[in-house]
Amino acid sequence: MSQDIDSGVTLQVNDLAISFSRNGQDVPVIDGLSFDVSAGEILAVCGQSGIGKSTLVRSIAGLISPHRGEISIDSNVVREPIENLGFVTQDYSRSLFPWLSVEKNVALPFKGREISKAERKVRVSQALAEVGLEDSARLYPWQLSGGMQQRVAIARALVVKPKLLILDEPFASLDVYVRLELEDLVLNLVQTHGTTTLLVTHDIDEAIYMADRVIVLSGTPADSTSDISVNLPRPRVQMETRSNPAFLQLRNQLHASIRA
Amino acid sequence: MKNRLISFLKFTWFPVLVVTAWQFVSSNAANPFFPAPTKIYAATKYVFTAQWVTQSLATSLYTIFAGYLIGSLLGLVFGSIFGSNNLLREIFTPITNFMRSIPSPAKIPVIIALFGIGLSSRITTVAIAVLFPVLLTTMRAIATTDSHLLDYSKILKFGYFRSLIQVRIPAATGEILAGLQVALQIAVLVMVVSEMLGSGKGLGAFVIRAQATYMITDMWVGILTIGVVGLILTEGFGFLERKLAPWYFSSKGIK
Repeated sequence: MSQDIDSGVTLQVNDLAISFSRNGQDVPVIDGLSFDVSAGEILAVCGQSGIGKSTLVRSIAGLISPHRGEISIDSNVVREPIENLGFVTQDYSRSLFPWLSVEKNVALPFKGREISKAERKVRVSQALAEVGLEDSARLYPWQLSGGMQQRVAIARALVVKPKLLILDEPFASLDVYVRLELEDLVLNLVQTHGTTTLLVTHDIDEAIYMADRVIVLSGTPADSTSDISVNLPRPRVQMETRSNPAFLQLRNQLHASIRA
Repeated sequence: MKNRLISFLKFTWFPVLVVTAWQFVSSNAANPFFPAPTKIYAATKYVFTAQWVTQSLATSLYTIFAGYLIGSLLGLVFGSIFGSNNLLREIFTPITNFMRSIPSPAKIPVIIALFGIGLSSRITTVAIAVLFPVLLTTMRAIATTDSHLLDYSKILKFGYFRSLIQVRIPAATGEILAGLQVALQIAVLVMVVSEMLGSGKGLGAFVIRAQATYMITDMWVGILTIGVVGLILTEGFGFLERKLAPWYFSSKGIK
């Protein structure tokens, strides 16, 4: 549905295994995980905390290397972060640079790139306008509320028009009102740009509300135990979508598979 | 106007009380080692007309500025390099810790043996004393950059230098400033000690000579002058750090 011209990348995860070394012993976190994401698709990754969701997306981001198997983006094997990757985590206060103003934080992805000052300025103010922060450009992140800081992080991720957007528990530290608002904001933006999106969340409702498809990680080491298509109509509307009987049915189904 | 007066009194009442008490006690006592503040003040007038005293002050200021600048620059550079490179850090941490463990005054004989007792020798002494605290605090701060910031700089595809200059060093601002501040106090201490040890130059030499010749009032002038120099340096540092990294103090809610 979101196949416009600047549509996102495809992603293949094939027989992925990742281990961590603890006290000299290899502890497998993920083992034998495979799934595909098509261009412009919004995939939610659910599972209990500590199951390996963040590890999975960090490896897709090219921040950690798998022990076995491979991750390909548009058929290229990932060995380092791809160009124009959008990455937003739960800890906005730790990933924004406190020594830079909001607009300079958002302009960071242009560092070391061939782009004219004028264009950079336009792109930054566009991104800030998209998240509703055009009036806060000259403030510093620590002068903003949590929700506004996360908007800055979202603007910073979207300013390069990413082909892949990774959201790792992006709204988990925010109150419920801000969360619903930002869910709609992000949904609207990624659908407009056709961005392939990975959303890590432990919130089942959020996963169903936002995603085209939800996969569930469970077990130690973790593997995908279910892969559920979300055939709810778009555009999604908070209270309406959430009270759709199909939504409630998916919710039960997901809940059962996470608990399994 | 009234508020100004109150804040003025808040900071001045205690020093005024101490000086007054000192004046009262010393002018009624026969002890020659604690001259009254009025006597010390009167002595400043003739002490600072002597050319070699003003030269001592100038020499001391030059020593501390040059030594502190060289030592802290070297500390920042090597601290940043060791902090961002695990192998270099492992290699140099033991030797750095060992060198730091030798108190600066104990290093002076070696420095005198190498450089003599001239100005460059004293500058070297201050620089070495400043180097280690700055190097160690910088190294630790750079080595413990928040993993979120490092992840993000990888995603931005920042190379080693861009990541060091634009992410790790600014993120370490608070700890680096704390290290520089501690080093400033050490610099004043080491400057005075190095001047007292045989150089014949600088405020430290002035104090030691005045004491040896029973010019007790002059000695007090020298000690208080060192105090004023230290205070001005500390205040100057506070002013500069707020100019250089205003975001740091505001973000931590420090006025």
